[in-house]
Amino acid sequence: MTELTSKSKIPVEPSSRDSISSWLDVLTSMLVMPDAQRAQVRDELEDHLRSRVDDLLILGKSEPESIRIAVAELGETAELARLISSANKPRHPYRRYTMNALLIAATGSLLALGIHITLPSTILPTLQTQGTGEIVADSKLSGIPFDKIKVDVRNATLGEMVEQLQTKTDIPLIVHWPMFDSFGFDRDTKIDIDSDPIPATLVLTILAERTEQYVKDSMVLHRADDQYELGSRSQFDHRTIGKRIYDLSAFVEPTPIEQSSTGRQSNRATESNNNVAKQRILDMLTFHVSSDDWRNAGGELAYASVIGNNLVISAPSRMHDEIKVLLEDLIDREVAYSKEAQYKNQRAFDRVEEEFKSVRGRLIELGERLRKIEDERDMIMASPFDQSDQQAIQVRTVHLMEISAHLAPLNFELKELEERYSFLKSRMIESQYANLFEGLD
Amino acid sequence: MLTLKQDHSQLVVLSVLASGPSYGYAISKDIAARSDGHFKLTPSGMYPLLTKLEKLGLVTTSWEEVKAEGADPDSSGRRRKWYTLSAKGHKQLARHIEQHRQVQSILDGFVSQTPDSGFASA
Repeated sequence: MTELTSKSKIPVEPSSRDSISSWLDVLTSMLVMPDAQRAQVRDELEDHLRSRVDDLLILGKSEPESIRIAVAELGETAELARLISSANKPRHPYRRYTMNALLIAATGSLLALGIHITLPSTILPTLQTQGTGEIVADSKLSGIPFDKIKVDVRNATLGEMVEQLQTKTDIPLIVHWPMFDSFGFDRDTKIDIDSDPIPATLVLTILAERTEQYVKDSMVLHRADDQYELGSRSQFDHRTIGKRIYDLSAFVEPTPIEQSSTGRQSNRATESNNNVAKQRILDMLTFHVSSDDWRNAGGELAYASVIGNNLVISAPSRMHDEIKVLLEDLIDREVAYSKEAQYKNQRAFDRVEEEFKSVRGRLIELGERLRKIEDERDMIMASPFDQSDQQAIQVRTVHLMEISAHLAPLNFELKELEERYSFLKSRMIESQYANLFEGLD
Repeated sequence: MLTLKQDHSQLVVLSVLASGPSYGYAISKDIAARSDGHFKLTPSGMYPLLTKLEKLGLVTTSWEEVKAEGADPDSSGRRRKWYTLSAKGHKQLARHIEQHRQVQSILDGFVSQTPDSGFASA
């Protein structure tokens, strides 16, 4: 930033400096950021407040009223502090690039000294290939304990640290030193960490954090075929931009092939749900993968469009790598969830089927009992009797009444069982119908 | 009064800065003036946005010392942060405008088929 020398005139010197200053004290105490940035935010908001107060005074408001209005317009203090802190937050440190910073330094020294050293085979396992050529040094995977190499950084420069590392690691690389100008790094950069010898990885983590606090770029070790290069992340981002198509069909519901009378409506609902699901995947990716680099967020690197169940993304290889990992993880979870849901559905279907069989058995049994009782009744009804024999008439009537009394609850039970049977039958048919289409899909 | 949404805010702020360097309060006034008071970008929306634009390299910043009318010439004034659209910001603005025109054109296609415009509705 440059300091301008011109001095504008503003209309009125506010006398209630204290009330504005008090509010600014409260706000700045809530800001989560380094002191230097906090002071800048305070200066900017003070200018805003006093400019606004000046305008309100010109409009005829009293000074206390003007200050009250100006402060109120800034919104809820804690929320404003949170939003500003969030916007000032450094980008998520690219931890995986920190080892690359070490390699940059090492290579710089090699080039400066004009030395080319054959890559020792012991170094190779430390370089893990990712995607289309970007490589990441991962000390945890390596045979060489990078995090155990200690360097003396007290009053040392990057170049001097490199010389220390040179005795322990030798890597042939092309270094694009001009690309580091934007970080303010070069061979003479003072590391400025007052400490006894510390692991080189820690030095590089600290350097990366310092860099990423102010610029969105970082240092990257890049491999293309057998060539190693050190440059800026933005440099290799532009070089590795490519299109890839990601299959989203694991995240959408299959649309029925045939349509019943209500099928069109259910198809529309399914399509609508699927569109929401696909948009959520897209939102998730643009939020979690290098969020500032998407075009809809003002970035220049990445662009995504959904075509059918495919997601077409143009992005640098490092973003593709992250997208691939995220989507694969999500698909694994989706499949696991789907299996669990399938298992639950199967269990539910088994329960329905079991009850269906039981109800059917009871229906058959009840039907037989009813038939026997009805047969008995019919036999009584059909049997000749002496209509003058009052006792015989009475016995017959009582018998028939008993049979009717017996039949009534049985018929009621039969009706209930038949209803339950119909319900279970329709549920089973629906399930079978759904299973049929799952099978077809 | 309409409160600007994030997508529109960036377009509007970049457009304001395309006219020349400006500072926070002036940007908010400019937006209100150019929209005849229809648009309002609140400070809680504007300052985080300006920070983001700066981080993305779409604007550059500088500081100026300003003094109140009648203040002691030797006293220190307050500091004002100026924002200037960068070359990258100009490109981004051009993209925003192009996208806006595309959306506008698509929407016009719908609007032109409403009954009010003389077309029969389905």
